[in-house]
Amino acid sequence: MSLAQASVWSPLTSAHWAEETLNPSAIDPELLPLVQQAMPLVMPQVELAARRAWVPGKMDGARSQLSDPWERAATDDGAGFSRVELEEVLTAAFGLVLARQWTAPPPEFAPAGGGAALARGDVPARWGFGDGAPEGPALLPPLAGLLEPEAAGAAEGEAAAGGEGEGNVVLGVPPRPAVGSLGEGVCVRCVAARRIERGERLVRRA
Amino acid sequence: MLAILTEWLKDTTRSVGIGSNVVLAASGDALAARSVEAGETLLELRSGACLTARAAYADREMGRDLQEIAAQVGPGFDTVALATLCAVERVRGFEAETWYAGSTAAEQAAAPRTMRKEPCTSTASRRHICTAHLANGAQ
Repeated sequence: MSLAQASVWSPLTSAHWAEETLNPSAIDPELLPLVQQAMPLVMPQVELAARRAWVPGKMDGARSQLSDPWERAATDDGAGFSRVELEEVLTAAFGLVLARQWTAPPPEFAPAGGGAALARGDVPARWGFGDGAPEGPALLPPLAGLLEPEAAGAAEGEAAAGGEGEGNVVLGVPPRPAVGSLGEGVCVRCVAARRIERGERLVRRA
Repeated sequence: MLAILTEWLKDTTRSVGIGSNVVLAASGDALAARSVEAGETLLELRSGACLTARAAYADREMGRDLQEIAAQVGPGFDTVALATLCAVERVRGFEAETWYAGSTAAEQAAAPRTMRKEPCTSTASRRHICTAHLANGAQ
């Protein structure tokens, strides 16, 4: 009986990795020294995970049962992941995160400013108004044009929207209601900025 | 891949609106599943669909180690933790063990994360990676 199953976050992380494999992200040269400084700190954790994940026989060259081409190639010598291969995957992971993470939540919606009106002011510290809401940088599901972070989303959104010129959806964090807890647990809310027809592509308004 | 992501998002602990208001095209684009008026909510993402460093710190295998490193390094380590989690997911084949000796994942996940907060200064120690800059430089 297998003791492994799909990880909780695997639909999100594998979707990001699939896109990253097709379109690898380059790390900003200015950030490269920082990435190189960070890698030795966490490489032991990656190596340990790789050792535990390696299964003799399953990851064994021609007899490999692995469906992931990268994983199959990395272990086709029957000896698991090499140090170089792990450095490559960790570097790629930094590229992925730096390109795709939201460094902070989007602005809050104005409490009484209408459905798609964002409050002016500081970026909220948390993804939601609850005390236990997540904080810090985040990877959201890779929905092209809608949930991509500013740099990638704006450029692609403009290109894909063609003549629209601006998006049709506003993203924001719900504000704490004056009474009750409606919206608690919601990290991001996507609200139509104008009437949207069925089948129309949803593009975040920058 | 897209079908798996869609099904995963349909869980109400992760989002509300996938399927009823928003559908995913084969290209990965999000499309309106119905016509909506300005001001209508199309999609809500909940914490179950928002991957932050909290998940890395709650990881069964490496969570505690990452918490210790984060405490030493200081603020801004979250980007590094996220990258580490992504790398580890990759080498694990996006799988997780259902059982792990000495696992304290449940209590780790429930406990609030504590990190020592330090200002980012030019006199910070050599081990202090200014990952706040790393994060800010991403956009």
